[in-house]
Amino acid sequence: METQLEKVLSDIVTQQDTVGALLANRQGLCLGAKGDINPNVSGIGMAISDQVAALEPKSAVSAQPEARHPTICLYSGNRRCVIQRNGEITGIIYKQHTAAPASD
Amino acid sequence: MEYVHSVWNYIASVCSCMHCAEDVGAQNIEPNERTHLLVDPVNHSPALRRSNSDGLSNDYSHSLPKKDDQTALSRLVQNTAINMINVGAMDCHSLEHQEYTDRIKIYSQRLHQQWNNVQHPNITMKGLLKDVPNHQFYITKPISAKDTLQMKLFIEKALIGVNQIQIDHKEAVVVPFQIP
Repeated sequence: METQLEKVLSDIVTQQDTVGALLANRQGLCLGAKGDINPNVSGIGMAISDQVAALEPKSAVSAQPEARHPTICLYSGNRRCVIQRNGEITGIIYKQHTAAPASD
Repeated sequence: MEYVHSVWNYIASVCSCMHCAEDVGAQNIEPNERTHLLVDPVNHSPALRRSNSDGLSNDYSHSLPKKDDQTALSRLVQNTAINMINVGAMDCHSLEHQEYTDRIKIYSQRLHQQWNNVQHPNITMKGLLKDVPNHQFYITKPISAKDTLQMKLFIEKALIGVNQIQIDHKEAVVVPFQIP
């Protein structure tokens, strides 16, 4: 049933610097979470993506998918939180900065 | 006729008095932004004076039955004269060029003073991170391409995963009620 989703989440948390990942539905309810992330932040993440999308309402009808689904990056200490919404679902990834800062 | 003359003299004296008062007032009060450009234009209008004399002569030189018509007509003429402003007849308000520029200067100065006194509540700080200390540091921080790429792949895979979610029901979804 949700094995595919579980597998995707497990894959993502094994990637470099990634400490946690979460998926939220349109209502901000948690569809699944893996790693060091609180499932309760799903609503907040969804709300943030909503608010940011409202900053540029014109991009909602843009042809480019990058413009339609803005990526939000929140920096906090040596951690960062990446949020992106794609229609029905919102993804949240927590990343930890371990190595020297990459130039890109 | 004697009576008419006396009345006319009285009106003329009143008019001249008014003129005097006006002139004195106009001279004493320094012109400012609230001074009317046309000082009592009705009295300066020659049409009204004419109509006044017309009205008087008409009132007494015509026969009685026509009096109502005449008064109505003369009132009409008078009203028209009142509504008319003869700008050309008023030459006492021509300002010197120097005076114009002086006034422009004074008025703009006053306007500036008033504008500075007014509280402008709408002017607020624009920008999301103005109240955050060291916001320049965070603004210059780039979103790394790795992060966006990782997120893009994550979301794409997750969408596929979410779409594959379906309910495998082992029992009957619709349960019949035990209706006797």
